[in-house]
This record gives sequence, C-alpha cells and structure tokens, in this order.
Amino acid sequence: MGQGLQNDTGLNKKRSVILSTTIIFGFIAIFLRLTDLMIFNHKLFAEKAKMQQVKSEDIQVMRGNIFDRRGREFAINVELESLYCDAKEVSIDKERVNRLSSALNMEPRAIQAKFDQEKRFTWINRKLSQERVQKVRDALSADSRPGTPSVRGFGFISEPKRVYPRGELAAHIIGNVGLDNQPLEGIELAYDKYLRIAGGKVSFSRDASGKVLSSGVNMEAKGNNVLLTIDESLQYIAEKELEKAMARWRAVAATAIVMDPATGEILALANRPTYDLNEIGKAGKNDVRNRAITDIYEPGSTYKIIVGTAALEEKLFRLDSTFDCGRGSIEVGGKVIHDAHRHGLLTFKEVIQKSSNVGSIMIGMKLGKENVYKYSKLFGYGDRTGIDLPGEVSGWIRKPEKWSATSIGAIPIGQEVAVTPLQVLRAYAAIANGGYLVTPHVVQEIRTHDGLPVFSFTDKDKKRIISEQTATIFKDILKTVVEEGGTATGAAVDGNQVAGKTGTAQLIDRRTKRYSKDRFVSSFVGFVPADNPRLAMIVVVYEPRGAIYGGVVAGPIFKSIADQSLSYLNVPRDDSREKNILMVAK
Amino acid sequence: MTRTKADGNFASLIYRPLCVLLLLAGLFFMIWLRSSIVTLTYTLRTIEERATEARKDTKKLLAERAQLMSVSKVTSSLQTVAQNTTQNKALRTPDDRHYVTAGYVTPDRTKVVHVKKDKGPEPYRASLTTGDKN
Repeated sequence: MGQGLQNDTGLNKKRSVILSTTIIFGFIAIFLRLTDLMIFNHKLFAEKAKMQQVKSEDIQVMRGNIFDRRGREFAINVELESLYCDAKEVSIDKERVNRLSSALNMEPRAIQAKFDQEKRFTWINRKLSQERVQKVRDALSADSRPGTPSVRGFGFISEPKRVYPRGELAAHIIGNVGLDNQPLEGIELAYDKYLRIAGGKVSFSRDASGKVLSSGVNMEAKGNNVLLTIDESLQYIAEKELEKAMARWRAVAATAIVMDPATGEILALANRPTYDLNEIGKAGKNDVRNRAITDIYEPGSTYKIIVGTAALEEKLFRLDSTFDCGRGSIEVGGKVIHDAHRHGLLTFKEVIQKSSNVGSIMIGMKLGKENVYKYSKLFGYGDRTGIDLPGEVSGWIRKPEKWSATSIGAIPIGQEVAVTPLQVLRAYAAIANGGYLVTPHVVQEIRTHDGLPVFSFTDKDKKRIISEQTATIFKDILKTVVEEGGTATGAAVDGNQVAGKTGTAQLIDRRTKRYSKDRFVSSFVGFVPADNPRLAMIVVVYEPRGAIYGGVVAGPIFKSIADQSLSYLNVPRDDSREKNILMVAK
Repeated sequence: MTRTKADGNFASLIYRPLCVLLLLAGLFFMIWLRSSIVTLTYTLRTIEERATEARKDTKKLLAERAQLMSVSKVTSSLQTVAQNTTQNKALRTPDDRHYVTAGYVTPDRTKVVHVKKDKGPEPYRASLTTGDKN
C-alpha cells in the first residue's frame, strides 16, 4: 500500500512537471508569436488589417447654387446614379446584354465593348434618371423578384448633376457645366472658383462582412451660392418680347439688355436664338452665343451721342446753333453721305432728334478727329466694359492717326467703329445717371451655403466722364427723339417719359465687301422714366425683314418691355399726381 | 477586542467570491458596453444611409418645385388651362379670362396708388386701394 502511494506521488510529480513544462513552452510560443506580430511584423499586419477594416469614400462635392436677385433658383444640384462595371468580374449572357441595352437606350455593341476593355472600373452610363435606374436594376437582377441582388461586377455610384430649373431663361448668363461638372460658359465659368469646392476622402471602419460603420462625418461639401442682379420676371418679360419680335420681323437674331443706370446692375439680358440649359446637346453654335457681349456691329445713329455730348462739353455749339442740312447730303473725302430725309435748316437739338447724318458730320468736323476719338474712349468704346461674364470683346475704334480721309464723315454717324450692345447701353446709362460710367455686372453677392458673405460687388471704377449739366441737356434732347417729330415715337411708354436714340446700321455684304442694301441692324437704346431713370435698356434686332428703321423695329420692343417692367417694379407714372394716384401723406 | 479566527474565515468567505463576482461582472459589462457601441454605430450608419436617401429625394423635389414655379412654366400652364376650358364657369368675367389667357400679368399702373410720406424714413409702399378723388 505504502509502496503504491509512493509510486503514485512520483507519477503525479512527473505529470505535473510535464504539464507545467508544456504550459510554460506554450506561453513562450505564444509570447514569441505575439512579439513577432506586435513588434517585428507590426507594420505589415497593421496595414493588412487597415485594408480589411477601413473603407475610403469620396466626399460628394456639390457646386454652389445660383439664384436671381429675389432668391429664385437658376442653377441647383440633384444626385443621380451612374452605372459602372468591373469588367474582370462581369460574366453576362447575350440576352441580358440586350435587356441592359434597352434599359440604357444604348447599342448592345457599345455595352459589350466596355466589358471587353477588361478594366477593373469602367463607366457604362452616367447620371441616369430614376426611372432608367429602376429599369437597369430590373435588367441586372438575378431573377424577376424586386430587390434581389444584381449580376456580379456591376454597381451604381451617386453623382451630383447640375439642374437648371428655368430652362432657357437667362441661358446666356447662367452658362453650363460638362458631364464632370467642369464649367463651360457664363456664370458657371466666370465664378467657378467660388461655386466649386475641394472634395476629399473619408475613411470608414467596416466589419468582416464588409458592413460599414458610422463615421459621423458629413459626406457632402457645398460650394458658395451666387446671387445675381438678374430678376426672373424682368428676364421673362425681355425674353418673351424678343421671341415675339423675332417672329414679327423674321429676324436672324435679337438682343435686349435691361440695366439699372445708377449702379450698372444688369436686370435682364436676353438673346435670340437661345437654348435650353438642360439640353445642351441640342444647342447649335449660334444658339449659345451671348450676342450682348460677344458680337460687334456698327452702331449707326446711336453713336451720335459722342459728337453731341462732346460738342456740349467742349462748348462748341449752343442748343439753338443751326446747321444747314438742306441738301440732304455732305461730301467728305470724296464720299457722299446722305440723310434719310431732307431736313433743311436744323438746330443742334433737332440734329439729334431727327438723327441727321449731315448735321452730325458737321458737328464731328468742327470737333476734330482727336476730340471724337477722345470722347469715344471716354464713353468706353473700344474697351471691354468689365462685365463679369466670359467672352466679352472690346469692339474697336481706330486711333486718329490711322483714320482715312472719309473717317471723319463715318465715325460721327456710327460707321467704321464696332461696338457691342452692352457698350452702347453703358454709354447711355452715363447720360441717364448724370455723367458717370458704371461697370455693368450680373453678380450682386456671393455667400457660403450657411449664409456668410464671401464677396459683394462694389464699383471701384465708376468715374465721371461728362459734367452733370451736359448730361441733363443731352437727356432733354434724347426725350425729343421719342416725342412727336422724333424718330422713335413707337418707343413712347404710357405714363412715363422715355429718352433714347434709334440706330439703323447697314451690314457689310461679304460678297461685294460693301454695305449691304438689304441687311440691317436696327436698334433702340434709352432710359425711363427720363427724369429719374430706373431702367436703361437697349434692343438690337439683326437683319429684320419688312422694316429696317430702329424706331419702327426696335422702338416698339423697347416700349413693350419698359411698359411691363415699370409696372412690375411699381414705378409711379409721371402723371401720378394729376391722376390722383400718388398720395403724399403728411 | 480580539478578532476570532471564525470572524476572519467568514469575511474571506464573503469578500473573495464577491471580488471574483465583481471582476467577472465588470468584464461582462465591458464586453456588453463595447458590443452595444458597435451595435449603435451600425444603427447610426443605417440612419445615415436613410438620411442620405432622404436628402437626395429632397433635392429632387426642390428641383421639381423650382421648375414648376418658374414664370414661364406658370404662364404656359395657365394658357393651356385657358385653352382647355374656354367654357369654364370659374372664368366668369372678361377680366378673369384675360388674366388666365395672358398668363403673366403685371399690375395696371393707373389703378396702383403709391403712398409716400414727406418726412421721416418711411419705406416706399404701394397699395391697390384707390385714394380719395376729390
């Protein structure tokens, strides 16, 4: 018994030694492995774990919105799904390719070509509508049951798409962006650095099954919002009237700009032909041209403002100075220039009122070419106006030393110079506001998406170019143009006096290189109410048919736009007191 | 006072298991807390995904609203309504018909009375009520 007990104790001891040795070695092995994992190969395994557990995603970058002066949306964003494939994973039969092609409205061959590229990431079609996405999901689902997982190798990524809720309204101002939201035209291009914002990536933790855990990070970055000086209603009025004019005169093109003459704020800028910003693919080359700032033309009689104001400013003539225009023509450098009608003896005032070429040339000759050039430059001709839209051209006027013998007979009546409609409007705004040359602009303010101010327009370049007295006298002369006996009675507005000037210019015939006898540019530029101007406006109609004179073609368009705009802006009539509709409360 | 051996045994009998129990409970509580946090992040993620979807829908709806509210859309809709309902009883007076067919209509300035004060920084106001025509 005692022997057996002793043997047992010995065996137990042996066992316990083996067990403890095994445990110790086991722990040593674990310790060594842990040392290997945590110290020697720490970097390698940490990287591996990170790759498995951390997922990186791009932050959705949204361009800032564009609003009109009353906060109405002109450019906003929506998120649409884009379909991509991993060509190495895709295994798809012909029938399903056909289903996919009908869902995407693409050629089956074009889809198959994407799979043949064998890239790990290929776009199939981008920015699909919700209905199309559903069709694609159905085409790719493993069976007909809704919500079933789709065929391997396909996926959707959400992308921001620019939407223009007003369609073709103010299309030439707003501009557009490309498929990757890169700016192409208009405000989108000019203010891209404010509208765009840097994106970045966000990392998420995910579990073994690939399920993503919350990161608590906002996955959207928004650019700054742009507030325009444009008013949707005024823009609509201008576009509607231009559309009517295009049909009425069967014109090639037309432009209208409405501006606040005191500040240079563009309230409306319309061109015809135009295009829908949401369907850029359908737009032709002519449709996207912003003729108000990119097209130059000879201004014709609207340019007589230069010699008129220069003569007053230089005190060369009085209002009652007379000019003998009885012959109805004048010869300058061997070239004979005619008036549209014979006028006889005209006063300085009547030369402008009746738009006499002969009288204007006489004034120009008295001024001399240096003065005509000086005042042309003072009114901003030959230079860009500085409007905050891309593509503006400067027009041109030759330096006096390069003038020909006939130039002094041509430039005072608006020939041999090239201007944009906006330059002409800006010059007339200077008469309206008492002699200041303003900077036309379409952006009033830029704010962050939280509403904090980033940029606000201030006109640093506003400068006086003529005296207030000259501006007032010339304003009175321009009023007579719209009155009985003037060239633009059709531009008169019921209730408010209009001051303005007509222009009828011949276009150059490309074949003969001479002035065309049947292709004209008709224009009217003016401001209203004449004594306290709220609106300055120019209407230019290119190649009208049936009539050519600015007073007949463009004048009535000016009237229609002004009538509705003054009413919309609640501008009191000049005769409010007489009609007892202006009440002054004490 | 002297402590008896029986007292010491009793105390160790209580405290030791209590400590072990507390240790175990603490361990389980930590595990439970950690798993709850993980569950919460899953839930949060689901909510974030739903919020993203809702935000997408909001953007779409806002775009649609903006399209519908544009002056040109309103005008063309009104004109379509007018064309389809020339016999519409709702359009009783010629004025009603004029407003609908014209679509975008600005106020008649001969009927707008502008009220302004001679003194003080009062804002400029407009009213549709006609004044005293003495």
